[in-house]
Amino acid sequence: MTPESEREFRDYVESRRGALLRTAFLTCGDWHRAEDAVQTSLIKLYGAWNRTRRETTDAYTRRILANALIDQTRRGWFRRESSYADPPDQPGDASGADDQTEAAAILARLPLKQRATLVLRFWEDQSVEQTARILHCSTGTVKSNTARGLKTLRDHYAKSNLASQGSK
Amino acid sequence: MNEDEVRNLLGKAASGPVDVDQVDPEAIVRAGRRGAARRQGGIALAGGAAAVLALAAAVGIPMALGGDGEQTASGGAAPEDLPTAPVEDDFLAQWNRADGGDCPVPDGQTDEQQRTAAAYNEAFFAGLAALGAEPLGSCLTTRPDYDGFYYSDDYTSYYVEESVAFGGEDLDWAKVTGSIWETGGVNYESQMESEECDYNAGAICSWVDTEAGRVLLVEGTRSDFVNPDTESGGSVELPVVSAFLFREDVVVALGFSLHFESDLDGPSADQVIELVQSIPVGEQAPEVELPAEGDLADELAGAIANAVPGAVVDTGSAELVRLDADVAEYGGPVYGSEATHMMFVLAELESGETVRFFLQAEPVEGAGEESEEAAASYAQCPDAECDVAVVNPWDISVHRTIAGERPSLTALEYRTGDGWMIGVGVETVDAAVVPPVDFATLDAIVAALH
Repeated sequence: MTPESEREFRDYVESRRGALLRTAFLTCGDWHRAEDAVQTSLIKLYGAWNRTRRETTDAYTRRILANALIDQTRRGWFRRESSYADPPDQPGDASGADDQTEAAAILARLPLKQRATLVLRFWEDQSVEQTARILHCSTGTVKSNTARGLKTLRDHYAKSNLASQGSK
Repeated sequence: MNEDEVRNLLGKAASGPVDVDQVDPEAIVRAGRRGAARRQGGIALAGGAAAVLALAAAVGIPMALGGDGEQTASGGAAPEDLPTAPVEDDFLAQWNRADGGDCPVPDGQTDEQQRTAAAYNEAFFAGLAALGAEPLGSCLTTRPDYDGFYYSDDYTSYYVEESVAFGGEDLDWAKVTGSIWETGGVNYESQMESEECDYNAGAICSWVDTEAGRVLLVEGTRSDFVNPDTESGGSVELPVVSAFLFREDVVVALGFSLHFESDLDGPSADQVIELVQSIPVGEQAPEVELPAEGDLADELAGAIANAVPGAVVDTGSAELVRLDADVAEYGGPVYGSEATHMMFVLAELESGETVRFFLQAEPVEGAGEESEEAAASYAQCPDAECDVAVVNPWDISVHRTIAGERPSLTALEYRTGDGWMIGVGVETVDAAVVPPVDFATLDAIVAALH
């Protein structure tokens, strides 16, 4: 890679790392796993940087990040690390942290594929087709995971404090 | 819970400060460099292996001639005055790519996975050819794209994604996707029916019993990208035909999304069912045969013998060369440039006349742009008499006539889909007259190749 390409790559990492970390955290529920997955993905991206068109880089990065998160599950991260339902302490005011914890706990009720689907559809604003492409599945699978994930969320959200806050 | 509430929930879960310093660009660049260096080492090793193969092929030619090394030593069937250079290490491998493309080879495939994928590919691409579908060979830029089937460790399945062109006067093409996975005892029939049928309003599903197992057939329409690579232009409802074959412990799935501009019929349900059944799962995959010069000679000889009744091709005379940069100034007929590989072979026509057939091939840089101009340029038309014609949206035909001391006719085809420029020509060996083989015959030989 030329020095110019590396400079572009560094700029890309700096501009995207925050958003990638949040997406990864929403998908896996653990900041350490999120960091690991984002780093792994960006190292892979470095190897493909010269072959990737800039306008499609975000799409490619989302895809390798999704792969990295799914791959972590296979490698037993869940057994070694803290689970989604037990997120690390976050700085900030107590009520905000409570909301964050509760929201994370509700998401933790979802299986990984459903969670990843909802994050891509509603956090990353990806279409059904784009989500299917990223998760390497059919559009039908995206739709079924979305419907099932929403139903599970609906059940748990209704019982949570967040729902009552929303209704106020 | 509506979509806004889901977004709100996700926003809350992701709220709070993020320690971005945990993702250090410098550390990633250093790790990336180490990975790149390792891959370079691998490529160097693979290149060395290819060089050994090329050497073996060269050594094999005298054996094919029965020990008579004179002809080979003097250059085989190639004209003696033709400036030539060593054949590129990866030319034969590229020529033999199943999808006609030049996409990267997947990393980390085991020998068994390579053999299995090769066996799947052989059946898959033969099936596509039987449907009249020609691989476009283009490489995707937004995600990994390999040569036909490959094994994905991430998903523990074999996958394929290809674009194929169908004949005709319009831009008729299809995206073909497929996957093959072991069920591990899980019954996927109801799951796949639910995912493919319940959530796709345009899908029409049915079950077909075959000897190989039950098949879930999905027809109708499904939304897909207008441009599957760049995803630009959004998505539209497209006609689809997909089949999921549930064998005893393996699922084989193949689907066509039809981007047809004409009223040409796409593959029928029966044809797709036949295709999924043809994929040889559960069988011991044979060793992968590395491409050899002799295979190319046989391919060319077979095509000539089919198109020219009574012709006897001397495959022992076959010689594969790459043109040297000096070819533009040597004074003889200019077939191509230094990027052109050529195979020469002698044949005796029914009339008793001995002629020299040649195949010329090269991948076109920036394929697809200004096609007719590119075709004429790669055919060296400024130095010859050419008739350039658009055969269909994918293919440009060039009929080239070279006059002078070694007159020849060459039929070339620029395939804009996979970017190959391929030509077959014929010239006399010892008289300054054009052999009695016309362009229609040469077109037929070209069509039978690659």
